[in-house]
Amino acid sequence: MGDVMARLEIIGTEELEIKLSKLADPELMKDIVMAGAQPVADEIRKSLERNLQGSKYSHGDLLKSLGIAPPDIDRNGNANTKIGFHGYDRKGVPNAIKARVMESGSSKQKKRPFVRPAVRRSRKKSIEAMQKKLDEKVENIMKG
Amino acid sequence: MTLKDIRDMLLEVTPNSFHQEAWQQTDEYIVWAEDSEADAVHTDNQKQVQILDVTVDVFTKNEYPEIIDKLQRKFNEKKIPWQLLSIQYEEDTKYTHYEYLIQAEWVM
Repeated sequence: MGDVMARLEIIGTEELEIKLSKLADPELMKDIVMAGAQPVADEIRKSLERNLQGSKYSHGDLLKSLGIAPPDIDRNGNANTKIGFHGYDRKGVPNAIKARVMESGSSKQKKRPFVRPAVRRSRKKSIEAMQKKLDEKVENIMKG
Repeated sequence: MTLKDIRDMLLEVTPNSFHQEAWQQTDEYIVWAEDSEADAVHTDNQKQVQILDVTVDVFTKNEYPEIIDKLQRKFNEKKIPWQLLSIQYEEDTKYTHYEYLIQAEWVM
């Protein structure tokens, strides 16, 4: 009996390679991180609004200063963003310090944590939002 | 560990321990407060176990404070999960503020 030899030829790998390389696009990772940051920022905003409700001292400066920083890619290739408080209030006090004192308290002010509990509450929503965005992106890329 | 156990544990660290608000500020004191649900276990459509986040804030005017050693040893001794969230120095009052996060169980 003679030898039987099988031959397998894979075609279209270049196209697949191009599609897979698009999945490693840093811009895609940034979009996913931003999708995850939004529910966290929304929950922090809700908590802060609750804390400020009925306050006769609040002018809304702290609430307005809450924002999400533009995402970037760190040296390890991970996409990151930050949720925080920028600028100063109308009396010249840094909003970040006001937020810190509200969160942690001081010897002169009772603490009213609003960031940590909000981050915990929104964790699941954030992960789901990132997964949804990733699925959308993968589907679009694979469709070509 | 329940909230009452935490109260008793902190009173062993210092009698100047207060729940929610310090009504008497000395050079060194603790304020503790529960603030939200950290986790829960449900069975048969009922909450069976509830874990609460509790913050423990130490205010001290002492440098290299012994109260911190005592408190952290106590956390370990009682086998409760703890995390030092922040250390802040208040320039105007000269207090150093140590902020801890621990967890308590709410008994149903």
